[in-house]
Amino acid sequence: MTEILEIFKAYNGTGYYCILFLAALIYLWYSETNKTTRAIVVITPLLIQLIFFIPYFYKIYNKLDAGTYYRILWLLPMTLVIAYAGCRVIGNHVRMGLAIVCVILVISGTYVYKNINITPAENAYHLPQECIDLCDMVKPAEGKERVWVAFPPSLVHFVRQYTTEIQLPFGRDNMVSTWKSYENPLYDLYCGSVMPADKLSEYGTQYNCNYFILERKMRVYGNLEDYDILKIGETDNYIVYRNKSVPLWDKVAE
Amino acid sequence: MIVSFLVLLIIMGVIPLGLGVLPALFVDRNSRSIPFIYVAGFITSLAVFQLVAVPIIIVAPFGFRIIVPLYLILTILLATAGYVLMALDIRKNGRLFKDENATGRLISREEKFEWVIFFILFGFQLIMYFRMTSFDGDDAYYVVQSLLTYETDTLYRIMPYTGLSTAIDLRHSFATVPVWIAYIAKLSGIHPTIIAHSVIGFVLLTVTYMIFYLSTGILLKKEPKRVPIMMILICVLHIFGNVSIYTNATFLLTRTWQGKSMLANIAIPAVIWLLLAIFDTEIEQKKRLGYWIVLFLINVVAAMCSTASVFLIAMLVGLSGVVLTVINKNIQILLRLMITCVPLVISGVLYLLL
Repeated sequence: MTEILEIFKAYNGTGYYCILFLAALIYLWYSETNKTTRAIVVITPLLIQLIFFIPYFYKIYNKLDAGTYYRILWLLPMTLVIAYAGCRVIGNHVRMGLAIVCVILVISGTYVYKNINITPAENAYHLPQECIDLCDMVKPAEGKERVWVAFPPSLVHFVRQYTTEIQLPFGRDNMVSTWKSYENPLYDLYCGSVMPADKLSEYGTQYNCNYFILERKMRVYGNLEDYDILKIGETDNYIVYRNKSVPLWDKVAE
Repeated sequence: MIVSFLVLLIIMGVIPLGLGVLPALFVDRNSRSIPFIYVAGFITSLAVFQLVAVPIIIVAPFGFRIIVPLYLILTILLATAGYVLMALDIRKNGRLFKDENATGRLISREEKFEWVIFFILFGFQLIMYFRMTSFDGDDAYYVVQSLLTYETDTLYRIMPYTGLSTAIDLRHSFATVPVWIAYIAKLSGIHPTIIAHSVIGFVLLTVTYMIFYLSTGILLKKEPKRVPIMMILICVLHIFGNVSIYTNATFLLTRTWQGKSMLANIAIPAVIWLLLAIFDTEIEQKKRLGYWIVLFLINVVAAMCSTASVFLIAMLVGLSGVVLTVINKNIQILLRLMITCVPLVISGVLYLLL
């Protein structure tokens, strides 16, 4: 039950829409005369809400799709119910009523575009331009086989959204701690603050990496050139290296 | 650029409208409208895609090259049939929609002003979808899956995160939204990531608001002048609905292109709209079969959105059916609704068996 309550609290987060929804349901329970509307936008949501809190139901759902129990709450037509009740509460005082209800909704909610994950787009791909520039430096030329490139963890989400011609020795699956992914010593190296040149060469070659991208702020211990790792380009925050120990292959004709 | 735009206009506009005529012919003329036809057509087009794509995904590793022409031909044929039947209907009855001159009402200046506010708020969401980047880790799976399909013709046989080959990913392969985005990209010649992040939201947000408009029209059937007020409130609830990362509003405006968002903001609201439309006896309607057809099709589309959809939509339809059955004391309601759930049952069984 505690877990369910946690999920419910997490879903309703910082706002008061949950309280507004409950108030709207109570209002419509007493005021709605159309029995179909009552059944679909009042009684069924109440039943869903009750079922949501049943621990056995939670257990069964988790067996089907673990970690997504909050989606049961998507079945509650919160938006429709709050807007419908608000519309009816306004009555004949349209202008003033609409303004007051809007103010209540604004105060009770959270502006979606204030979300820290939302930033102005740098291009039509909606990917960091610097990542695209790096991909353009290392992506295979016409007639060449796909390449393996080790990117810093902060960029792995974006690389293959731009081109799948670049393959990654470690990806998002290595970064999510709760997922069962194989140990990856190269990823562990990239998570440190110092990059040992010998280890980078050893693991990078083991994973067939043709290129390495290192953050400019990453301190390299040892001389990369001693291991046939040559700098071939850079951007504001990253340096691009070619690992000469791993050849670039021509595409095999189909 | 112009060619791409025209292709998008055809596959996202002309074809869905033609497809939407097919179910529209089975509803009362008074209930037909452009939003109804477009939403019904959009849902039909997704359902046809799901029916074409899933078997091919399972049996053909490089099946995308089969899906593209097959689905295109099928939808063109069905849309053409829709337009032909529409022409015949107009020829026979003189009109497709209700007679506005006979039943229409005057729209007041105040109401027009409210509609302007609504369209400003709606337009604001479209602009923000295009102008702002929303980082979401799941894109490293879904958007890359679209790109892999587009670039390699393979279907769920390559790991999106790294690029290694793998056995078919059955858990995700029934959710064909990434393949659908790859299809749009292939025909329009626009990169799938651009389609997902800068193009498809215009269509998906429009469909979502059309569904809300249709539901609002039923809820406020006695006071149609209040429809724009409710639509304004719905916009505000969405724009300020980011109370947590889990809400449907957050998914609508930050993960618009993902199947999960389509579940929360298209499939579920569409089921509620259809239940309201089918069972509201206060609306004079002689023909409701079209709504049943769309409900059946949305249950096909549900599986396309995400794995959990099958269970969630079945739960919504089932519970609503029980409540409506008890209230109306008519067991036929539940039985009929169970029939519309057949696609969900098939999807669920396939998922468990495979």
